[in-house]
Amino acid sequence: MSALAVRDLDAGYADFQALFGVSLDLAAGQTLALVGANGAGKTTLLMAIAGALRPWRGSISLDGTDITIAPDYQRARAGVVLVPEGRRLFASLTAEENILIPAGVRGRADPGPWTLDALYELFPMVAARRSHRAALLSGGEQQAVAIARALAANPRVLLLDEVSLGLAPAIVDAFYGLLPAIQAVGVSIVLVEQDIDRALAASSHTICLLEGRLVMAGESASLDRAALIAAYFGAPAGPADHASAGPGGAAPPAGPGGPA
Amino acid sequence: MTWVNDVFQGLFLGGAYALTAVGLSLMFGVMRLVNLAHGDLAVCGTYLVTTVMAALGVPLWLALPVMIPLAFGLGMVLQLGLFDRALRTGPLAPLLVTFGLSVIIENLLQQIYSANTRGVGAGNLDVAAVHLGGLVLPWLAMLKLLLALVVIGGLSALLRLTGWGRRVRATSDDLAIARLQGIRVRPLFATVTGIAIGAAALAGTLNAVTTGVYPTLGTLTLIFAFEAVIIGGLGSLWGTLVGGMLLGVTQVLVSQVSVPYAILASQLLFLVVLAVRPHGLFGTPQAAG
Amino acid sequence: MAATGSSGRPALDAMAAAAAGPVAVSRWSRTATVATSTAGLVLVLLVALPYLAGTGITQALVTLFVLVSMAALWNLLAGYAGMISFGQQAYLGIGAYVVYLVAKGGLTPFAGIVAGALACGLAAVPIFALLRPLTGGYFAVATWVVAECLFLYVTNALWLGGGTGVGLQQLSAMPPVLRQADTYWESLALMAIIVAGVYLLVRSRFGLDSRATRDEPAAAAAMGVEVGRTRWLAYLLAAAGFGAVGGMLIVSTLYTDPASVFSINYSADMLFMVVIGGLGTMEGPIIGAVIFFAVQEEFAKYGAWYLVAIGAVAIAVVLTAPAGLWGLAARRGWSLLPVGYRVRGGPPPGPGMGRGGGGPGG
Repeated sequence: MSALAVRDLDAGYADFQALFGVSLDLAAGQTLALVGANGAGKTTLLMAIAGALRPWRGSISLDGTDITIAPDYQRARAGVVLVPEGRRLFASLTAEENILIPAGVRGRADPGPWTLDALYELFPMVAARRSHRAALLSGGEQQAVAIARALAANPRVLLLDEVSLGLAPAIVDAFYGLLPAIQAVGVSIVLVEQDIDRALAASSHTICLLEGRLVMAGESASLDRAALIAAYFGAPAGPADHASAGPGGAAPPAGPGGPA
Repeated sequence: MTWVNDVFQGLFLGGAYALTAVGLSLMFGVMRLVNLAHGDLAVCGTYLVTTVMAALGVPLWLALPVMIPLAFGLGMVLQLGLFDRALRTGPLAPLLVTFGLSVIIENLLQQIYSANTRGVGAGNLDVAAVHLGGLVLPWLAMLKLLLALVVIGGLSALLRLTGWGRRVRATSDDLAIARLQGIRVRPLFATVTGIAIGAAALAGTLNAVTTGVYPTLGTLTLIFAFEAVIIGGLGSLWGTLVGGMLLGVTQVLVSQVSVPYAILASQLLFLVVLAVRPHGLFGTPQAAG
Repeated sequence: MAATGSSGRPALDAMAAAAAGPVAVSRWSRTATVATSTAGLVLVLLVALPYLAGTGITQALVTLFVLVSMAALWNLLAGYAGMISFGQQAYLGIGAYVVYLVAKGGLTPFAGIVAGALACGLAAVPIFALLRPLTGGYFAVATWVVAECLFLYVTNALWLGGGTGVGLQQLSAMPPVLRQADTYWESLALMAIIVAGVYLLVRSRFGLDSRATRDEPAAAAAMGVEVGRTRWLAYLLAAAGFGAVGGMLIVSTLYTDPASVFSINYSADMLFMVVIGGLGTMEGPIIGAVIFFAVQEEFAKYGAWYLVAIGAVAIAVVLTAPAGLWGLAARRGWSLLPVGYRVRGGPPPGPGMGRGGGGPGG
């Protein structure tokens, strides 16, 4: 059973449709990289999974339980937690208060491994700045707090939206170095990343979105990089129907109804 | 020496204003909701107290503990039934809805209790005072200031030290992200409004011991509370206390020169603050908007 | 709506030309033509009314015309410029007292109404400069405080009669029938000018800008709309209009006092009329004013209950039908679209779109 399963998802804003029939499956402890150009619908997909956006059609399930219409706060409690683009910490709270927010609202019986102490061990730089107001932290520190805040909810599925945006490469390397430790406790990760090489290296599977449609999917290790880049930019040589770029690529897409 | 006494009376009056305003400030800060029915809800509490006193034949001190939980409940019901929905509807809706509610309350009170002013009996508390040299320190006024300090101090501590307070501040910072981190906003907002209305009803009742109460009193109550909040600065409960005290001191000092212009002077003080420092004394510029 | 027939105004000519062109896009429909013609006939009838009906009817109509004028102006601010003001009674008061002063100086009250409008337009400049940085609830309550300041000042100003108020002695000396007819025509003209003025404004570039400003201030600014200027213009014009209406109030009752002319109740009435009729629509405030007038005439004798009921209806309208009664009527008349929340755009999913499918099968 997939930890996270998305089926035929349509979503958008007011009368603008941003996602067209997107499906994906993610097993426990796996990392899925989500790539695509600006406006391809990556953030919309994460928002729909996190519950910030009600899908128009399709379904989302967590560990086999349908959560399509569950409100956002319930999804967070059930274990789908978003690290939003641009961090969006609670600016007037201290670093530690930010991290304590999910702990105070969790309704799950299973406390999970991410206690405050465990998080401080994972992010020593947060521990050092725990009593500083979030607004006064550096970009890297803020990103660390944002990830720690999400982990504090002891998520089943962690949604990381552009965690490397605006950060120094050394800090980004450090973040990606932490992912195996997070996966090791069974957390599944959906990763939105601009840098294709980084995305491929950090993930077991990769999917590519183009104009709201899933155009390519496959195992990151065996994905043809050139084909992925073509799919990323809309395959100038390919036919007008973007959906055909997927099957034409190196990776045969899995059927939508096929959880193993 | 009289002017020292006047300043003291002004500070006491300011405490009364602040006690009324603290709920408005709280709702403003947490939900960005300007509750235009705030003053009328305070007045509702006062009428409720007079009704409880008459019906049960109990003194003010026993009627207050009955009324305050009812006011808290009324606040929760209004938030869940009306304000939540208004906040979701759009930027103009909360103003239209709370102003409509204000008109409904004033006319309901007028229909039920008549337009006449009624007194709120409190034994001889409204006249009892401590004389200290040339200073006259009325018990009731001191009590209101003390309660303002207790309520504001207590709320600040709740907001700073408890999990509830942390969630309230987080929600105030970023509502969407708060929900995505698992915070259930509806009950949180309901308790905030409950506290706001409870404090306002307490303040309104104590003020009415001196001035009496009439159905349209809420209008002026709201204006003074709003001015205290804005002068003090958005999002700062202690700022609200300072704002109330500035209003009170201005009013009492000017009344020594010219009684008719005392209230006008405090209104002008508000407009001056608005002109030179729109975000108030202790607020941040971003919060004003 | 009444004064918008086939006048020679450029904006209307342009529209007529557009309507006559080969493209079938028109702002006019058969219904609109019929309605406009009917409105023209009604206007002629209304002008002739003092010769046909008694002062009881014309007096009641003066009240209605004043309500329509106030609703149209408040809608210009709230419905089109996005500024909710609870302090427009400030300008009603200024207008009324200017009429008193002008009449005291020996001029006709009619000149006073014009002077009142001008005075309010001028007074609005510094007041708006003070209020300009404010939005939302700040703006609403600050306007209210300004009105409250004027009230407190006038209450204590002996040269303006203080709290007891002032009367228009000159007009009281006129033969009542003649005076009533004059008052009636003036209020009718004022309403026609205000409604037509707001209508033309809203159909002009200004209207487009102000609606953009109301809906998306940031986006409007990015598109080159001068947000501040649009709000400024709306506020100034509305202030002048309210000044004229305030002048009309004292001319029709021959008396004014600060507690009534600066009363917040005017703002409540305006809010109710506009919200129930339809905020941000042309027809809504007129319909709202007629409904409010009818309810007031019919039920005021039972006490303030009618205000409780109207308040409850207004709240229900804000929360369930933000475009008011007119919005409901218009929606029903437009088409058989299901009563949805929004139109969902984009093409329906094609046959290949259900595919996709994620990599990890678990």
